[in-house]
Amino acid sequence: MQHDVGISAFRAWAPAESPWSAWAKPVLFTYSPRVPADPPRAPAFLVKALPEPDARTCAVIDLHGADSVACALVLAERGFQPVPLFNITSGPGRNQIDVGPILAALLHGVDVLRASAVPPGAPPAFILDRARLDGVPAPGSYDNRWMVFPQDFPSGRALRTGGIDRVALLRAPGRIGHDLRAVLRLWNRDGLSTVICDPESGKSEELGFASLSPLAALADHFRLVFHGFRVNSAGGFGGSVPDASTGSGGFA
Amino acid sequence: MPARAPGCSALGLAATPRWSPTVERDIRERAIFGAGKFDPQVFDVPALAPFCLRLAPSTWNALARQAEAAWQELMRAESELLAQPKAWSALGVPRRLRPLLRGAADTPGTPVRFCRMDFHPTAAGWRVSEVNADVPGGFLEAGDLTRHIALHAPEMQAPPNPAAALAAALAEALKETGERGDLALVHATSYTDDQQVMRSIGRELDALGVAWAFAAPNHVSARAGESGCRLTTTGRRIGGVVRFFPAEWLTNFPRRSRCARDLTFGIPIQANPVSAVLLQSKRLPLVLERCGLNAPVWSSMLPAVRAIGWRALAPNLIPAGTALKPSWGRVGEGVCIPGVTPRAALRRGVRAARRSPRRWILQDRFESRPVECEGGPVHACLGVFVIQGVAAGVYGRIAARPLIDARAQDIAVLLDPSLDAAQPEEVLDAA
Repeated sequence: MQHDVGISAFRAWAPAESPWSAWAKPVLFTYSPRVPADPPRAPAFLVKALPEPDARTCAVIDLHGADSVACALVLAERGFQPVPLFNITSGPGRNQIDVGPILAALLHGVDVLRASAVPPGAPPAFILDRARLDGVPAPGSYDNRWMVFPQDFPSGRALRTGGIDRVALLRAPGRIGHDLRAVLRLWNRDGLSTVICDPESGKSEELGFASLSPLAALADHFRLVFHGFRVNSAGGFGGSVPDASTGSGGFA
Repeated sequence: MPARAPGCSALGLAATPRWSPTVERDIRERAIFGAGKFDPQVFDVPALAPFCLRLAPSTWNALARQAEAAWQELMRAESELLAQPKAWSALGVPRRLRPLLRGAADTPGTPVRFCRMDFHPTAAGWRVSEVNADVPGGFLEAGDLTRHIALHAPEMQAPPNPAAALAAALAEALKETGERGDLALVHATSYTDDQQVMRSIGRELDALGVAWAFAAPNHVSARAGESGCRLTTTGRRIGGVVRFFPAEWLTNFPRRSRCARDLTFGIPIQANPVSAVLLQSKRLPLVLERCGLNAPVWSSMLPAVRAIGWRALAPNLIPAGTALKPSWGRVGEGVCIPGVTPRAALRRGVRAARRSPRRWILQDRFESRPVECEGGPVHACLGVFVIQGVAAGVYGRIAARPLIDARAQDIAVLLDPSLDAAQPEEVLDAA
């Protein structure tokens, strides 16, 4: 029965008719889901300032877990096809990231999605959890932090073939994660521009990649090394957080 | 699904026609929710090929016997090399890993061994590109996934299930040793594609009633005044470990951390023991020769390997007919083949090999024989699992170019008796 709930929810979030469904990550839907009694509510700011659907623009939602899902549902009502990219594991004991709220939001979103009747040609809205790399795993906790890699997304070429040449990155102000920046940089090389939209304030600004000086790149590198060997010695990533632009770090 | 494909290939290997969109959708869903495949798409390509490979049962038997014979030789070689610390340096074993190897030589425990040998159909018959002796993947694809796909092809049979064979070997080891602790399935917990491998083994352990838990290496902890180790996440005693965490990654932990030592010496049943790393190095053939160790079956399957040595200074580092490979590469990572590898990656590889020639080798290339299929010819690699010395399944991958790497697609391999009936002489020749 629980298995059926997962399949049914995944079919709703990754409908066969949408060409972007192929990239939806299924793992969360396989974790024996139980629909929680209390539906998560979308924070008020999420409905204030979101991009209008535009066949040339795809969205990347980089908000905190359940907020990202709520935002995606609002975008679905406006004509975007949500694509969940939560590539997160779960294990015994205390997990570094609680998958419960995200899973609950996804399961409760199924009815909204069905009511939205997103058209098959709708541009994609990729959903991430901004907290995916947050925190320091405490001893004995299960490190299920995760990161995105270019292979998790369509290539810039595939997006352009789908008529998309702009990316709306929905996130609150702050530094963009090095993993997501690597993806956006590759898309930029393929001719896609990125606009950062703050859904709370409604402010937006163009994201520039040429401005990344060698010094900034070096600073990024050292930040990664610091992050990898000091914060992340638990082994969740194999001892260090890998460089998102060069490989997955896994080896299956 | 029809059994016969157009254009039966030699070597007892062929492709089925492409699945219909309905079957493809059904198989994708079964792959995710039935077999637990969490990475169904990589870049712009589905991870799973939309058709199967058909393998003649006589070819499977021949490959299985070859792999088993080679494994016996490699086990003898590993045992010899474990007693020769000077050889570890020649293999390129990282310095920080050597104390673990020394300890492994003193406290052997109860090893449960699994490996995967990668066979390629070539113009000269079947050849092996490498043995994955430390942490081979593909259990899910060769196991549950192949069985789900076989439901669509009743005229063919699935080869043995390696996940089931490994689970049975682990259950047997627990019984023999009288161990009552759980099995720790150790992996890098942040990666779903690593956890999916562990899950596939866990499902088979469930079927046998063996208790297990996911774990990262640092969840393994020895307690003062207590023999053995416990998992810090569950507090339960560990009777055995299945390590899907490369041995050389154990050197990434801080020096003060004891988890690598606890993981290696504190747990009675080891699958695989850390000594497996000695067979994982691509420099193995060079060291076997230097140490005077004979492995005739293995040597006949593997293309010749050469050290780079002074050639690092030559204008053309990669001679015609050879490939450049990193000593510790996995999943085709870093393999440089002129004319196949993109130029930028080739330049990077050559530069790295000139800088650190001992971390790279040159290997004679084989001429991969493509399999004809509806979308055009594809190059195939059949990873034959050997578990406790017995061939136990096959993991198929295909690529449009003659290089099987992270961009290759997974493909189910099914045994098709009609191939033996159609071309008995050719199949036997190929074996």
